[in-house]
Amino acid sequence: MAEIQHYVLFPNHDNAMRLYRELKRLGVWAVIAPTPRSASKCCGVSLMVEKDDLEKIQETVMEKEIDILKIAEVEKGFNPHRDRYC
Amino acid sequence: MEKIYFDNGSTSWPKAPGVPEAMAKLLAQGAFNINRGNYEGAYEIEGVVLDTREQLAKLFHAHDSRGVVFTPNVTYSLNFFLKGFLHSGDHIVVTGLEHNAVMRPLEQLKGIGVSYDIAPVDREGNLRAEDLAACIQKNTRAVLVTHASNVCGTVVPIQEIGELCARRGLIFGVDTAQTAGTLDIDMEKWGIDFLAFTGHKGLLGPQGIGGFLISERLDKEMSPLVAGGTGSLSDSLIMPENLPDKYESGTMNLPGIIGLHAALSYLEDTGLDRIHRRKMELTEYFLQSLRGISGIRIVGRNNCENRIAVVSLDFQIRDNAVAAFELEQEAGIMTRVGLHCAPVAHRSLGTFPGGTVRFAFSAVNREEEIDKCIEAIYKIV
Repeated sequence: MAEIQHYVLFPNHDNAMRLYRELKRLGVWAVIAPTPRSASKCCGVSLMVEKDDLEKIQETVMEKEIDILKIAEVEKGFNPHRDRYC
Repeated sequence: MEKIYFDNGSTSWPKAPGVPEAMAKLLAQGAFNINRGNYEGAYEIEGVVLDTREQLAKLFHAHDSRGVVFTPNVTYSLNFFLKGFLHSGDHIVVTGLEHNAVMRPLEQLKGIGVSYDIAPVDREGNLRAEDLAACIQKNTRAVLVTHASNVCGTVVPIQEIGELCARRGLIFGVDTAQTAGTLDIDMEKWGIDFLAFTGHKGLLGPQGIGGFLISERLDKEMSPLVAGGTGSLSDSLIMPENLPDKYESGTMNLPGIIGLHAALSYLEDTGLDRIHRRKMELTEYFLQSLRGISGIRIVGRNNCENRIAVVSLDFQIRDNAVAAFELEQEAGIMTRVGLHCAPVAHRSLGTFPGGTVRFAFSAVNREEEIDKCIEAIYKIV
């Protein structure tokens, strides 16, 4: 079974930076990364996060009123069906 | 000859310590583009931009730093508001102290059926809230006031006007070009929906960076004046609704924001009270020193009550431009002469079209500089 990487997707960079900072403050692992093309066409940034932290992340999103688009599951490795826009 | 800079109403100088270094460092070591570049260097700069938004939200007591939008300057900010909010048939009330950054867009908007009224001020530039209230009509949607006159320094009672706007359900906008970084401004407490600022005057940052802070209720009714790439939702041809992207199309002035960040950090460390107190000490010293000099008129209030460190003089037996030229030639004193892009204010103050010579002090000016200025004024009157 393929390994899954979780990504938090945002409508803009500003919200990504706000959640990133908050997670760092809480000691939750997160890395800013380009949004995988297979997860969205939007060209934005996203946060790579761990599955075990998802509940904490959702709580933080609610508490800090951060706008996110969704939390996407992306198979690790090359996706030949990715979008080719932008 | 020593140069004496008294033109801080146009732009402050010197800038806050650390501003040139911060800007140079960015340009020399990696001026990466935020909201576009997907790498660590760009994310680091994004972090500083977010810090700067938070500094501004704190400075102006805003509810949420997401409502902080960067523009090139206060003029752009005011255009964003007036042209993004007002529609045909709408009416707005402004004051008799406004700058052309307000009046020229309003004259343009007349062409699409927007109307305005000017609330009168007295010869000292004092505005009474009841005179402003008398200008409100059935179709009035907003009130926009300068916080302090860029000509005579008189402060407008924005708290009272904010309360009036809240009672009448009007959008309330404030132009803080001359007061940001000097006076405490409380968006939440005073019910300000739109606050326009510029970075290069009292905030002690570089030219080319300014912005506005917007309330949630105004944002819902305001359209972006400029549209384009934001680095977000790039698959869509429609402008994003999210703040600040909605109003921040195109590559931003990152050296300007980085410089402003350094300036705001300096202001936080120093304290607005201390800066304002020092400026007013100098203003009081100047006003006192002017007493007894014949042939000049202090335009506006002749004391330090309800004013900022901007003083206008009308040289009654000299052309004001000649007086300003002689001050610069004879004593190295840099001022601003003319109408200060505020013909409406000069008409209110009785100095149109002759204008005035404006002296605007910073906290780093010295009494000895004022002494030299007074000596030079004695010589030319």
